[in-house]
Order: sequence, then C-alpha cells, then structure tokens
Amino acid sequence: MYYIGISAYYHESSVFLTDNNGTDCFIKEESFSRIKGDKNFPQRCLKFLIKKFDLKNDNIKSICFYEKPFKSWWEIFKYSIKNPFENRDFLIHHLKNFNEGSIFFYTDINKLINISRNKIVYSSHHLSHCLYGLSVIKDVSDYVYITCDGVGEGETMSVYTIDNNFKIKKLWTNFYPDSIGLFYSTITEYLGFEINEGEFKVMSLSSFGKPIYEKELKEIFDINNFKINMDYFEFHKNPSKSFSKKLYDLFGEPYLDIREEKNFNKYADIASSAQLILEHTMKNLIKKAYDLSGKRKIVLTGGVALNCKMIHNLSKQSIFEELIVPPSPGDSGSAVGAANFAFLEKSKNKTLNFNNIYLGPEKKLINKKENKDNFFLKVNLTNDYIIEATNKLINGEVIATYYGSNEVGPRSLGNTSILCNAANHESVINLNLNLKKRQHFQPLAPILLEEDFEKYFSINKSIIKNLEWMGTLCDAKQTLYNKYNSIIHVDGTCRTQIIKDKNSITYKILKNMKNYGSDILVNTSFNISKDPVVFDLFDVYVNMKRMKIEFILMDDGLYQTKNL
Amino acid sequence: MILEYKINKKELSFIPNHIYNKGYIYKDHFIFEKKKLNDFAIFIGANEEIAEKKLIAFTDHLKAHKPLVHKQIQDILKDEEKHAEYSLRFAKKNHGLFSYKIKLAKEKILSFFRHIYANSLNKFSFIFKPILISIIILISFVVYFLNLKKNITDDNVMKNIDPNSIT
Ligand SMILES: [Fe+2]
Ligand SMILES: [Fe+2]
Repeated sequence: MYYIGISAYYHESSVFLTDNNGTDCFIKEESFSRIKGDKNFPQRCLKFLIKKFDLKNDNIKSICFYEKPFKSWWEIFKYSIKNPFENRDFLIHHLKNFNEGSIFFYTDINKLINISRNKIVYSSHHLSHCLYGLSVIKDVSDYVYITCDGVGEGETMSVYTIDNNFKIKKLWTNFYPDSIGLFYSTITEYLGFEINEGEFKVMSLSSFGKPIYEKELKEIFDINNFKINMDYFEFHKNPSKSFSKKLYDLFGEPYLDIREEKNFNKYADIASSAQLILEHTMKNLIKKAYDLSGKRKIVLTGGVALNCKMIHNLSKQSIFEELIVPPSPGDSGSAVGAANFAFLEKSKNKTLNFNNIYLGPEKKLINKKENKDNFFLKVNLTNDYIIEATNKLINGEVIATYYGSNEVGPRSLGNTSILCNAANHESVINLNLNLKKRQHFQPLAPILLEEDFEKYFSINKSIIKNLEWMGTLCDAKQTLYNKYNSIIHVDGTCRTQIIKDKNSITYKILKNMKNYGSDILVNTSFNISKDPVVFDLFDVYVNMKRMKIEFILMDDGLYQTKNL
Repeated sequence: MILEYKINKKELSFIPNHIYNKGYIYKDHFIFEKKKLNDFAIFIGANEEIAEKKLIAFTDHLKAHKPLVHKQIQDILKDEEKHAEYSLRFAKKNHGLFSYKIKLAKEKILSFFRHIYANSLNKFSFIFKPILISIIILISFVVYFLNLKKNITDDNVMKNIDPNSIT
C-alpha cells in the first residue's frame, strides 16, 4: 500500500510516494515540464507514478496534501481585508486567484485517479515541514522542531516538540505578516533579484559587504519580538511589489546595476545588513525555543533554513548542542512531510522509516533502456572505468554524473552532478562562468571524503551532520588556500559536501583521485543556470551538448555523447 | 542578455507560467504531444512568423539605447526565420496544397484571437471589478463582526487536526 504526499500550487510542485518498505520516490513537476520551479498541479509527476507503480484506489492508502487549502488562502486575505479600500488591488488579485489555488485539489487528483474521498487528507503547512525534519534524525524526543518560512497558512514561525509516542505539541507560533522570510525576500526584490531564486544571491552577496545598515533594518524588523514594521512593505496591498516608498526613501533607488562597483558595494552592504538581521532573529528564535522546551538539539525547517551562511554563523554562538537542517527544508520537501503525516495519521504512533537521503527514483526507473544506446557511446564498461574517469578529471576534463537515486533537495549531491578537479584552477573557472553561467560572486562547492575533511576544513561539531547534504558552510584552513584556491568564498568559507557511503561511485572516484594527489572535486548540479536539473537521458544528452561536456559516468560505466 | 536589459531597471525575467495563461502550453500535455507532426509544423510555422514580427517591433525600441541587445535579438530573429521556414516547408511537403493553406490560415486566426484574448484580460476587468469589490466589502463586514481567534499553542496537534477538512 502506498502513501503519497503532494506539495503544489505555491512553489516547486513535488510528489513523494512510499510504501515504507524500501520503495521511495520523490519527484518534482519541473523535472517533467522542464519549467524551473513549476508550481502547477503535478499532473506529469502523478502520471509518471501511476504508470510506474500501477496506482489505483486499491493500492493507495492515502494521498496527503501538505497544507490546508482554504486556510492558506484565507489567512492572507484576512489580513488585507482589515483595510479593504487601501488594499483593494491585492484583494481583487487574491480573490481572482481563488479558483487557481489548491482549493480544488480533490478535483484535480480525481481527473487522474479515481480515488475515494476519504483517502484524501490534508496536513498543516508547518506541521508538514516539521514532519519532514524527522527524515534525518533518530531519537525524536531529543529535539525541538523550529519551522520558519515566508508564510504558510498564516503562520511564519512555529516551535514543536514530539514525544516518543509521537504526540506532537506546538509550543509557540508567530503569525503573518510578522515574517523574517518575507523581510528577506523583500530585500531580495529591492536589490533586483527574483524572489525564491535570488535569496541565494543575496546570501552570497552579503559576504562582500559590511552590515552598516544594521540600525535602519532593526527599525524594519524587531529581532527581539519578531515583529515587522509594515510601513516599509506593500506585499499586503500590491500584488506585484513587496516594498513601499518608505524603503525606497531609506536606501535610495532600487534595482541598480550591480556591475558598477559603486552599486555593487552599496548592495553588498545592504545584503550584509539583512543577513545580520536574519541571523540575530534566528538566534533569538532558537533561544525562545530553548526556553519553551528545554532542549538544546534543534531540527530547523522552512524556506529560511536554506540559508546555509546563517547556519554556519549560528554555530559559532554556542546556543545549541546540535542543529540539523534536512536536505530540502523548503516547501517542495514538504511532500515528504505530508506523506509522513498520512502515515502517522493512520498508524497513530509510528512515522515513516527513512534509510537514506536520496529519496528520488533510481535512474533505471526513469529511463527506457534503449535510450542509453541511442544517445551515448560506450567508452569503458569494465571494472577500471573509475580509473579512466579519474584520469580524465585529473587532466582537467569536466565530467557529468548520472547514477544511483535522485536527490531530494535543491542541491545535487553527486548522483546528478557535474564534477571537475578542484585543484585545476582553469577548469573550475571555466565550469562556473562558461558552462554553468553563474555569477562571479557565487563560487562552486567542493566535495570530498569524510576522512579528508579535517585536513582542509574546520566546522563546529554541532552542525557537522549537515555536511552530508551541503546544508551548511564551513571554514577553509590554510592547506586549502595553498592548493584549492578557486573554490573558497571571499569570506573564507566553503559549501562543502562530505561523502560517507563507501559503495557510491562518487566515493570510489574520490578515493582514486587521492592516488594522484588530489583530494577534492568541484560538484555542481547538472543543469544550465536557470534550467531544472536533468531528469531523463534525453535531458542529459541535450544539456551535455549545450554545455559541451563530453563524458558521463553512469551506473555501469563511462559513456560519451554521440554525434547525432 | 537578461542582465543587459532591464524593464523598469528590474531584472527582466521570462516567467514560463505566463504562457500557460495565454494558452500556448496546456497544463497536462505539451502541444507536440497532442498535435500530429504535420499540424504541429504548421502551428510552429505560423506562430514563429508572428513572433518574429512582434520581436522586430520590440527591437526597434531598443535600437537606439541598447545596440548590443539589439544585435542579439537580430540573431534570434534569424534563427526564428529558419524555424518558421523549415517547418512550413516540411508541412507543405506532407500536406496537399489546399489543406496546407487552410490549416495555415486557421492557425493564424487562432493566434490572432489568442493575442486579443491575452491583451484584453486587463481591459475587460472593469466589468468584473465592481462585482469583486462588492464581494470584498461583504467579506470585510463579516470579518469585522466575526472575532476569529488564532491558536498560539496546541497541546496535541494530531488530535486537534481534522485530516479531511480543508480549513
Ligand atoms: Fe513553507
Ligand atoms: Fe523559434
């Protein structure tokens, strides 16, 4: 019997299917539609699952949507309607969108599968985030669960605890519009980046500046009481712009061209100040969670948790014993949380078992067999293909990887990646700027074996677990500067990933690289800048051709693109 | 190019979700999955031609102050022309001349209406606006008298949640 969790309509639709017995399948709608961040109802995902797992009413235990549809629509509406005249534009917009949202979830599902109504359940937004957090920990009662995001069902911050019988307690909630997530997004928009995508850019940019606007921004967001000053915002009355004239007056013109040095410095300072406010707020929230629960171990979820610089800086304040952010803390990971809710709701005192962090489908489930031969030439399928691939990497070649199961979060963790030798300065720069077309202030991330980590990096033990899925930054040691200069961020940090699993191909390659005196690879997701990560072999072929990458490692060997 | 040209100085980005609304992509299938290859070729041919004309109009605005972007768009246009030409040639070969002409005309008319529809979404809003506003005023009264409470804490979340309800 399958449990299915769905997250959709708001940001990055995704579906998670599990039988809690070894079969897990997490997929995103963007993988099929090839539209980055596709938020439509995940038709294509569900069709894929229906075909692969022969889904029907009889073998589905329940389908769970990750939030309460009406509540999430209503809570935002409710705030704006206090001043109906002033906020009329937003209200009209929101009212028009009523039927495009999740209200008709059951109808949408029923078009694809005939399923009885009582099998459809609805979790709650922050609860789904929280239940997804369980996928990476063992002793649930040791932790306090903090969820912090833009807004979900009118909630912006929540604190939960769970006892050993899975009785869940909510200790505290903060409500819309008092949201640190919306605050950060608004700054993102003010700087001219796109909301939902640009937050990472703001985070990278913040390392270049000094927090000289700290005082001004503290006026805008009260870090002690978690209150927002709505004078500076317009997201409750203007459907297309989130900051008001007052922010404009404070910082001057928005959307400047950051390629000019003067603007770059100013924007870096603003970004740096916003980052500082975020970190202070989170610090206070963690303290509050400790006061309420008495627990010093934290699972942090929600979109705000994607800010890995914040995680890293918080670890230096010794306010917790352990802090874990699961691989996909944002809304798309909530599909997993929703499935977990469905399971817990049926079994009352059990949750799903998760054996690893690669919850996506295996590559052979995705592809028809013949496609491999249609698009790729066999280069080496013997046992020493690892050696051949390593040789190519050492010589500065960029190699794509496509093996194992897919990753859940926004970051590729080796199974669907592009790799190159981190010691080779030229190929790293080439990969970043030419192939991936990223901006110069966003350096690429290193990947290495767990055993080598201490040689090059240092990190506070309290957040070390997050390194398995690039959930945090860590500090570079001098040894790293000597040899792997090009992967270090301007503030001396790296977004490192460590590999533990000795059976994975990534592990074998890294092990082999060491014979040539190179310990670190650069790892970046397998896509061109704004595209979704590759999904089937056709995407793989097209992306490799576009980026001019020739070689690819798959489950059974090394391949090369054909010229068609 | 995206960085080069900013509408209202804001990063210009193509939001693919908009093309759903304008009817170029359907939510449950791609056009090329639904249409026969021949019809699809005509669809592409007709629409690429129209797209080309629109782009030319757009670049004329840019010519003076963004010459670099202008050039880049010219390159895209050449590409576009090729697409249109190839697909029309393909369609011609595989259709009778008569059915080809009819289908091409049909696609052009459809596209024309699609543009009218997309452009008029805003213009016709004045009809619906009063209705929506009266709904809003109504709700605001209801909310004013309803004193809705929010729960800051919850002792047993799983017990207090109704899994089948959407509220
Ligand atoms: Fe959320
Ligand atoms: Fe085209």
